This record gives sequence, C-alpha cells and structure tokens, in this order.
Amino acid sequence: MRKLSIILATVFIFGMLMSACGKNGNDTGSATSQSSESAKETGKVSEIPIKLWIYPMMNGINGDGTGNPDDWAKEYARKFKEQYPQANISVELLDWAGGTEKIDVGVAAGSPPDLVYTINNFGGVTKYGKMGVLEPIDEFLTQADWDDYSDAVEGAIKYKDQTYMWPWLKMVSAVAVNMDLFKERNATDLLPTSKELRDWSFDEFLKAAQATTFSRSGGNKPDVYGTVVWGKDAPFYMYLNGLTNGGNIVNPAFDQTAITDKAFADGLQFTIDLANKHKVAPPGGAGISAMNAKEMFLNQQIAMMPDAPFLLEEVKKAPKPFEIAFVAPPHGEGQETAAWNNVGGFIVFKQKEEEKKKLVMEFARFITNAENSKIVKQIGTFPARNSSGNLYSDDPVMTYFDALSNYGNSVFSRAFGLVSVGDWEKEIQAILTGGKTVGESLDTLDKLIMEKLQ
Amino acid sequence: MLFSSSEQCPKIWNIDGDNRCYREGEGLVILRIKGYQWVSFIVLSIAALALLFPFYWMVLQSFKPPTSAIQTPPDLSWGGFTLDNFKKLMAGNIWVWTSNSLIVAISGMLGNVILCSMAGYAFAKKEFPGKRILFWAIVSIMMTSTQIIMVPLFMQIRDMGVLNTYWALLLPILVSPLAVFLTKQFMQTIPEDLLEAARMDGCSEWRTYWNIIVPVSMPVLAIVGIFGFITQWNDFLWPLLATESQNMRTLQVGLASMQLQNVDYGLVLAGATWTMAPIVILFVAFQRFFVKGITIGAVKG
Repeated sequence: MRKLSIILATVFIFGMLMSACGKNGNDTGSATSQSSESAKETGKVSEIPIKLWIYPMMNGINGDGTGNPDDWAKEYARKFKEQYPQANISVELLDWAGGTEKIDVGVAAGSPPDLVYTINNFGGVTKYGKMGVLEPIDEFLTQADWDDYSDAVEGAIKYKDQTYMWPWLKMVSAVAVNMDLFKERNATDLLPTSKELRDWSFDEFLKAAQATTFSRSGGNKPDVYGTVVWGKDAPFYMYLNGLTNGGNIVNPAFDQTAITDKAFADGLQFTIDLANKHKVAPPGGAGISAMNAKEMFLNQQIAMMPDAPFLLEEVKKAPKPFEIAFVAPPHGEGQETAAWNNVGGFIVFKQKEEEKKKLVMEFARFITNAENSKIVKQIGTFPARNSSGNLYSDDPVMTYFDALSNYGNSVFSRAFGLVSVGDWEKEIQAILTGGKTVGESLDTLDKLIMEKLQ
Repeated sequence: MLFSSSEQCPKIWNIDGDNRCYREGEGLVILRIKGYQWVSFIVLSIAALALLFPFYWMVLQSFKPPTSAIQTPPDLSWGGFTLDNFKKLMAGNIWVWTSNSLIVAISGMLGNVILCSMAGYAFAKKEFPGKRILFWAIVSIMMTSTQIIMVPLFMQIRDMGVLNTYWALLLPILVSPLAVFLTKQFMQTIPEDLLEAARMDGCSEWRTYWNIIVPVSMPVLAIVGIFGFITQWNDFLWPLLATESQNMRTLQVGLASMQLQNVDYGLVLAGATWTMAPIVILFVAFQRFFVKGITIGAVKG
C-alpha cells in the first residue's frame, strides 16, 4: 500500500509539474502579451497582438502541399510584419469539424479572434453581422476595390447595407460527368459538351440520367445510376435546381424569403423526382451523405454528380481512374444556367482600439490583395479579385469554371447560413422519404429563414 | 469444450449456480450450453462479428493505399500493404499530440481516482451539514450537458490566464461528478464495523481512508480510473476550445486539423487506428473491470 501511494503521489506530482511547465514556448498568442509588456518596459515600439484563425485548406508556405496547413498563413504574417513591425500575429488552425463551434464560444465569451476565415454557406457574415459583433469594412474599401470584385462576390460580403467580409476566393460548382460510363452506354451525344457554356435543360439532363441508369451485372435492378440525390452532410446542392429554375432562397436585397415561390419549388421537385419518380438516382437518398455520393461516383456507380473542380484530382486517385468532364447545372425551361458560387474571405470582429482596428483591416487587405490571393489556385478556386488575372489560362477545365462563375449567385449560397445544416437536411430527408411534400418542407424552411431575417 | 446437457458434466467436476462445469482448484471454467442457448450463442457471435468488422476494416485499410478505402465492394484482401498513411501521419505533430493526450488522460485519471474517492468517502461515511444538498447538487451536474457549461467554463479559464496551457486542459477534468457518485455508492456498501475496528486500533482518519477504504474500493477505483482515461482521451470539444497553438493540441484535435477539404481516407484511418490503440490495450488489460463498471452504482437492496 505504501508503495502504491508513493507511486501515485510521484506520478501526480510529475503531472502537475508538467502542467506548470506547460506554458508553451511556441504559443505566439500568449507570447504577444508578454512581449507587449516587455516592450513597454524597454520603451520600444509597443506590439499589437492580432489573432488570425484559419481552417486547414492547403499545406505549405506556398500551398504546394509540402508542409503544415498553417504555414502559408504564418508566412503572410511574417511578410506583413516586415511592413508593420508593431504587428504581432498569431495564427491558430481550426478544423472543419469544430471550427465554427470554437468561434461561437469565443464570440459568446467575448473573446473572438480578430480575424477569421469563413465561407459563404457557413453563414458567418449574416450570423455575426446580425449579432453586431463584426466590424464593418466599408470605410476601408475603396472604389478600386469594388471595381475589382465581380457581382457574385459583392453579393456575398454584405449583411443588410454594410459590408463585413474581405473576399479572398470564390469556388464554383458544376456537374461532373463520368465520360467512360456515357461511352459505355453510347450516350455521349446526350451531353451538352458541344455548347460553349455546356448548358442544358432539366429534360435533357433527365434523358442523360436515364440513359446511364442500368444494371451492369445484368440483374433486374440498376447498379449504376445516372445521378445521385443525397440528404445528409449539408445537402446544399440538392436545392440548386430551385435556383436554376429561376427561383432563389431569399430576394436580392436579402430581407425577404423567396423559397416558397413556384419556380424554386418546381426546381426542387425536379430534384426529388429524379430519385422518387424517375428512379435515376440510388434509392434511400435520405440516408445518403455527400461523402457516400462521392464514393459512389469514384467507384463508377454514378454517372453525374454536382461538385467542384477539385474532384478532378480525386478521380485521378480513384480505384479505377476514368475520364471526367464538367458541364453546367441543368436549368428549367426558359431559364439560363446558374452556378453555385461560394465566396470565402475574412471577417473582422469588433475592435476596442482604433489603432488595432486599422492594423487588422490592413492585414486583411494584405492577405486578400491581388498578388497574395493567387495562392488560392492551389486549392482549385479563383481569387475574388479580377485584378489577380486569369490563373488558369493553360487549363481548359478551370477556364470553363471561370466562365461558369459569371452565372454564379452568391445570394443563394449565403442564404444557407441562415438556417442550421440540420434543418436543411431534415427537410430534404422528409421529402425524399415521403414524410412531407416539397411545399410543406419549403413552408417550414420559409418560417425558419424569416425568423433569421427579421 | 462445450457440453449440451448436465449429464455430460464429468462427475468429479462441480456445477456452479450458473450451470457451469468447473474443476476445483484449476480455475478452469467450461461452458455447458443447453439446446436453446445455442441459438443465443450463434446470434451473439454474429452480432460480435458485425461489431468487430468495422474495426477490422479500419485497421486493414490504414495499411493500404487511400483508394482502397473507397472501393466497392470493400477490399478485404490481405496484401498490397503500405506504411504511407502512417508516414504521412508521423509527418505532423503526432508525437506531441499523443504525449499531450497521455498527459491529459493520465492526469485526469489520477485526479478522478484520488480526489473523487476522497469526496465519495466523505459522502458515504461522514456526516456534515448540507451533505444531502451537496450530493444532489453533484448528481444534478451529471445531468447537465457539457455544451451548456462550455462558455462559462471557457470564460473562467480565460480569466485565470491559463488558456493554451496544460492547466486549461486539466483543471476542468480533475474531478468528475460521475466518479464521485460511483465511489460514494460503492463505499456505502463497506461495513461500518470495518471502520470502527480500524479506529479502535488507533487509525487516524487519513490512515483509515488510505489503508482500509482504498484497498477495499479498488474495483470501483479501477472503473473510475479507466472511465476517466477513456473520457479524456476521446474528448474533442474542450481541448479544441482551451488550446490555441498546435503544440498544445491533443491527439483528437490535432488529427482533425490535419484534414484538408478533400478527405484523405488513408490518413483518417491511420489516425483512427493510432488513436484507438491505447484504448484497446486498456480494454484488454482491464476488461473485467469494465464489466463490473456496468453494475456498480446500480440499485442495491
């Protein structure tokens, strides 16, 4: 017993000692305040601590994959400090699973970061803008900045009449097509690949999906489907046909819902019909996640699915790589195509000191300037600024996505942030399982969205 | 060796209350399964295999190229093994994160065992004003969701100035209401006579606790320790909130931050296998305590 007590006491004391020594030397955040205090004492330039939170998006200083996910941001911090020696920037890496919760707790506890990356469909601009915890950036934006942003980007960075996001990148989504499957079914002529914008109607899409829904094993039930409808893991794409049918979730002023309009409802009904009526999507869509859908596509069990250009790289690493092409999302009769633009950028939380606010804004401008924005090429996205130039002139796939981005609608993706992901999932699942009609589900979402807009 | 009827149990052996054959002194227990029990045996075996299959698949795929993980039907073949996923894993701060997790989990475990057993002893064997109210307050904390207390806890730790240190990770976990409840329930069953005998022999309060209560309470302390370790090892939200730099991250949080937007299945599965290994070792070593843990704290007559 005595021996046991000595062992336990030793381990416990050791643990406590380790804890006492646990103030990490690399902790730039805490080092900031210490250095700031010591700077005051020595009469040197007082350092201004800035906290930048980012998500893991690319590895390495240049985003080329060699290094850590926060290297590029630390490099920007270093370069910025060369120009502004008083800036003491700490970079914290969030993760996609719990990052938003961490920001929420920081906001609720009154100690959010100074600057954080967010993306349109996370709804950060709307959520925090409504809470009044963000710094408007209008006074820091010049006319030259506004001229540099496309319409789709401008729509993404505002809440009501104020601008809150320093736009950095835009992601564009299209419909990925497994060309091998279309060739196998002699159905390549059903694709709009000969058109410049590769746009097509709902009917044409349905015919292509029907042609590529078949049983490879020769059984009665299909084991390859033309497309996929999913209800789990942020099924935002599933609502896209509402947009391409001429509807939208909210109005352009972002103060009224439009989700129950006939155009949007009919578009969503088309999505549901693909699975439930035409049977050109795998059964049990309510239980299928975005990840499952991608796995089926990479396994050549799905001929077409909506996705972003980085799917191309994943196809190259698929169990059996295949030829892939991208076409525009289908649209309703008489409508022009519409792509889903998702704009990512940096929001600045409320600052108490004017001097620090200016420095944080300057840092945000520095990261998102035309030159530094070019790094987003590493993740297959486009810089938010037109002056960054065409980064993909030698890449036909990305050139096509760039053209498609002109038809993007960022109001649509920003609106997803108004309602929790769980609610978007619940409603699409209810429709897919027959628990609700499209109209009933959209009515529910309409009420939820209105609560947020009021 | 299985028996289908009691007649087949050799006469020189004994049959215990649970209808099991055993030979005195050898510690060998042989199941004797009746006809209908075969059905449950088969059903449970299938269920066990179904539960084990994902773990088998995870470990297998962690040693295969990432493309193998998304293959349909699943690639269950032996061969084509690679250490690439683990090499990628080791390229991160995995050792730092693992040692942080170990420090947190072991400290949490020891804190729970030592501090909660003291509290449990006081609640079980001592009388003091407000004892009932205090105990029910602790029990009510057990019913409060962790997420609810996250913001005030974060503010408290921040105001103490210990964010991003081991203190931030350890202070909230050193005492667990569940562990206090379990130890109190167990220690209530220790006969008063034992304590009185100790006192008559001149034991001080501390000596009574340390030399009498603790040895007798080893089963519940083992449970509290094991549960404490597992809870802290698997915790994600609090370490995410309480730490800022990569060098202070725990394994769960660090691994999550390695995931870029495109999921690297090989990395995910290697990370999951790496994370699971200590828990499996712990379970294999202390499985009899796990089973006991299910019944401790249950209603007693």
